[in-house]
Amino acid sequence: MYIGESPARVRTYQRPQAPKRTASLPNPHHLLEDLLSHPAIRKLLGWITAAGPDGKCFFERLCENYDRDWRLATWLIDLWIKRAGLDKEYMKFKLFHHPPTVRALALTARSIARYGLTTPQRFAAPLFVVWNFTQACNLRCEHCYQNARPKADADELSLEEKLNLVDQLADNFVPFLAIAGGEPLVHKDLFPVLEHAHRRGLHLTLATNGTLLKPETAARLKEAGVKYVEVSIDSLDPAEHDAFRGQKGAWARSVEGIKNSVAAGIRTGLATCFTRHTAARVDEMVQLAIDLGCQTFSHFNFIPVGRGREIVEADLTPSQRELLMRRLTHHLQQGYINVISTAPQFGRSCVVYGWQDGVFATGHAGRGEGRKTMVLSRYIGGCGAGRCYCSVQPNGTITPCVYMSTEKVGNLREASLAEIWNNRLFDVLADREDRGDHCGVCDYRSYCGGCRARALAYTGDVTAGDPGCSFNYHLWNEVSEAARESLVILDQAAAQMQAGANGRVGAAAVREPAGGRR
Amino acid sequence: MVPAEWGAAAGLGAAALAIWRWRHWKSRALRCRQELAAWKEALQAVAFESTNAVNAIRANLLDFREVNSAPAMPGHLDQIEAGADRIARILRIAEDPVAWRRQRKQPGGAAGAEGRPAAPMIGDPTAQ
Repeated sequence: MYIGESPARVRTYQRPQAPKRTASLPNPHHLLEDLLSHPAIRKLLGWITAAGPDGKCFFERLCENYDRDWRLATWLIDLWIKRAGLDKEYMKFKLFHHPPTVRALALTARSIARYGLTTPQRFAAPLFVVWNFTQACNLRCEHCYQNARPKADADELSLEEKLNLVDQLADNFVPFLAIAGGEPLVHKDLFPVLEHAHRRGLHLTLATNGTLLKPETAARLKEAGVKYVEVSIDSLDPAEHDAFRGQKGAWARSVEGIKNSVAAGIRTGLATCFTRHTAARVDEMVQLAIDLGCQTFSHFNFIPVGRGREIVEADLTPSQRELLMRRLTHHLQQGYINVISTAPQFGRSCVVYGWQDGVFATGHAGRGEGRKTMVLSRYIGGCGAGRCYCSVQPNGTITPCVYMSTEKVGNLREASLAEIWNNRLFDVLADREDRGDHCGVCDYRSYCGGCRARALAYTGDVTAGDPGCSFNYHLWNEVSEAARESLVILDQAAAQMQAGANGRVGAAAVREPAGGRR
Repeated sequence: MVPAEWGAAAGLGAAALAIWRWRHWKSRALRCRQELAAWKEALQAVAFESTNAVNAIRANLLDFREVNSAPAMPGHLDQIEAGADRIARILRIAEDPVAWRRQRKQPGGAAGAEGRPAAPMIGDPTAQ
């Protein structure tokens, strides 16, 4: 099997498109699409989101002054809120006086002004940045995409550079910042950076293995403005998890970490990276998340990069992934817990297996109900690498995705975030028409787009089809000789999942928590 | 009444009749427009759900064929595949119902009115 190590340049298109296997999907339409496409509206959006002398745009000032100084504007907005039948207090605290939401809207408006309304929407700056804070980690996980080590690298950003990065994110209207690793809790700079980011109005989330998440640490995270903590647990079996994570007792400490985070009042998620050996137990993992009091279950797509290249045979087959997506869609629709996935196929799965007025995943982290959300997911859904999301490495290097560490587009020590964001690779990643295999002709490409990191890892071409999708089975067979050889094992695993989907783990298998649906 | 009054009364009567007819046709047009919008929405909803169902069948059939290289009764799978293709073809009506109706009205057009898909579909016997 060939696992590509791509150089830091844009690969040219190599693979032809495959025959179309999906029936043409009639996409739902919303009146707002016509409105936002109008050139006059684009100009207006550009005007209201142009940064003023203080760095703030008119839209930000309007939201800040709503229900405060600007009485006429407040009266007009109140009139609209009343006509739309919305709750004023809810709108005030969740929208107008919630800086990350205001920034997300301002950034979206600025992106439409710059690029027009495109499917998928190209953004003028990242909507979401994942910052691999440090290379240091107290565990040694088999699948680590970062190839984290016990000690931090010598060339990692200094505290001053880190604070400067936070300022750049805030100045570029970036609303959401996720801090990952390595293990961010081992680094001394974490709390000063979190506090500064909180002051600058960023929505903060933290991905951790949870082993260092003591009650006092959780309380400090809450104080520092962290809104969401995600703890990784990969198996129900403590021994299996500990072996996978390279440390005895890791499972028990991670579970304790989740409990501490929940007790501290932070929105908490349980993250699982399913492999061929654990995918059949998706329902039990979701149940564990519910039992531990988590609000979110997060599925991490296994990509054979970093140390994961050494266990490539653990990757799910397309049929296993399809079944997994189906189960996750089922849990999302049930509503006992929020479900998110880094697999772009989850967007397609919500449309294919869901109901048109049901619940949809709008991207890696969002969800909503009804047709309006479906229209929205066509613009922001699926793979966001280099389009609405990017990753910052510990040394300041920017890559389109945490799983694409070989595709370096610039370093924050040499150029600003705004300068780096406009590059040829990100243009290629934002275009879903010129994709190889079935990804280029798929009717769901607006909702999915295929995982670019997986395509790169298996074929060395970021524009190739995603070998993890059922519609690209021909590609999977081509790249995965090992998968063909172990077909018997796959059959058994798929049969297990099917049994779970049909029988014991049905709609009633997930118990409703005391708090009801979230 | 003098002739001028007769004329005015007739004129008023004609105007009242015209207004009544105009209102009648207006309300009828409004009703038709609402019905058309409802039909259109219903057709889109049916097409959307059915297309997703067809694509779900296709994705799972592809998976099933890959993990079961020698199924016990392959004929059943072929029939499911052919059925999905047939539904996919008929769903193309929803893309442009006016063109479909026009084609159907043409001599000999009814047979091909469902329209063959532009791109070859899996299991389509005419696909090269």
